[in-house]
Amino acid sequence: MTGVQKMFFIEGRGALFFFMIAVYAVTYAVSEWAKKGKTWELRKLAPIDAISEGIGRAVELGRPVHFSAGVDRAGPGDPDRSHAYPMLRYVAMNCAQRNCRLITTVGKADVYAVIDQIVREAAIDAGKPEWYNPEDTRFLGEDQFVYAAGVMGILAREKVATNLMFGYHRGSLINMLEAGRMVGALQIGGMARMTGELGFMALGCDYFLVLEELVAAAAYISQDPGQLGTVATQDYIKFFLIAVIALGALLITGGIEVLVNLVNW
Amino acid sequence: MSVVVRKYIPLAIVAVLGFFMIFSYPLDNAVTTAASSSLGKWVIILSSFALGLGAINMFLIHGKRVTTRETGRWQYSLSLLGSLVIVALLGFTTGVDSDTYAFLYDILIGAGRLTFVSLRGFFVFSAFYRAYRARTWEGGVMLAGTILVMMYQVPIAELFFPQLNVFTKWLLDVPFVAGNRAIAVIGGIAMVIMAFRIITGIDKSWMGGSD
Repeated sequence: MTGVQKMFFIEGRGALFFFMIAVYAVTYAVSEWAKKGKTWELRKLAPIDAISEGIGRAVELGRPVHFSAGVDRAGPGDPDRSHAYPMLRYVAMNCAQRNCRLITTVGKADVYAVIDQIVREAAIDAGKPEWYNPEDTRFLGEDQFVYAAGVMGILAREKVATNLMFGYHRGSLINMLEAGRMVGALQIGGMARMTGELGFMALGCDYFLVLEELVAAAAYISQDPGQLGTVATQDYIKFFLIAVIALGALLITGGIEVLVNLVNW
Repeated sequence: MSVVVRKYIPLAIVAVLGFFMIFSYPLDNAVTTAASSSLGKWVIILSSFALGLGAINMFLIHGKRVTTRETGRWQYSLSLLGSLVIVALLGFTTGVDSDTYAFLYDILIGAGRLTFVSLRGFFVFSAFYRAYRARTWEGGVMLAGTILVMMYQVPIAELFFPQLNVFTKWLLDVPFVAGNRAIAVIGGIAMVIMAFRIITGIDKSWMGGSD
């Protein structure tokens, strides 16, 4: 076995290769099962309901909604961006249907075209292509502080009613959230990475989604059976890992290193 | 545009490259390692082109404000576009390592950055004051934990309550780390699942449409 490991895999990553294949196989199987009619009960996500209420509030007040997709690149290792896309589509469709102005800000130029396309197609899908205004999708600058200054300015000048902060943010997040608080905006956020800024999100937002909740939220708003199936897979894998961790703890306490060696294979 | 060009070709590119990048990570193969490294460089090159797209968006929005003399705003838009042009021209002509470029960066961006960092101190306090209230027992536990951790950071607490600091250190070393690791593992699973959804086209929201 060690020979095979050395021949094909980087040290310590062999088990990961097979684990990934197993995870993807299970995810695909459960997703197909869901498409064939299997359903799971998904608990209500308060922040998602709050988004709809926030848009309603903006319509009543005659003020816009602001959506931030964060300040990170669209490249590999940027999960926040992936979660922000379905959320933006949901918000844009809701805003278009209710004729509420949506200002979307972008902190990285490489995702500007994607963000703009999502807003444009959401307007078309909502049956309101005239609602789309290219000037309301704005690239503010690549530096986190430049971006934050731009967002703070928009929040204050436009008197935003609902401030939606999705995607990855850095330390300047708290500045933007406090600017939103000053104009009395309802603030909803979400972050998929375990960073210090997660604390700022918890401090400054009225509602926020964290880590796996964002993945579930994307499926929740789409109501697509395939996506809902992947949320169930997450739970199955979680239970499996809990069992592995418990078994590993017991074995290593008894001086048996089989599982440790297997994981590090 | 046909559905093949609009949907299936982008999906095929994402699927092939996505799975390639994931499975080249554990493989010890010179060809896959070199290819994945090259793809990483492509991202940087494509991002640089995208920066031009961002600049065009800025010119469209702020240029319109200047030409229509939008009340109370056109002056700021003009100064933004002026700064953008001057800094870009200096960067292209003198290089980003030149003294002139560094000076401009320091007075424009550096000063602004420092202002933001100093503002953050005040904002954290105001947010902290609002959030940390013992209205519920969970809020009370969070507040008590925060006070303990804050006391742990000041030397005077060590002097007066040495045993309390032993407890706080245990809190930070054991329950805090355990909780953090649990969240990190769950977050990791969520990322793997999200990647699968995008790569296989189950989630197509990044393409703008749901179908």
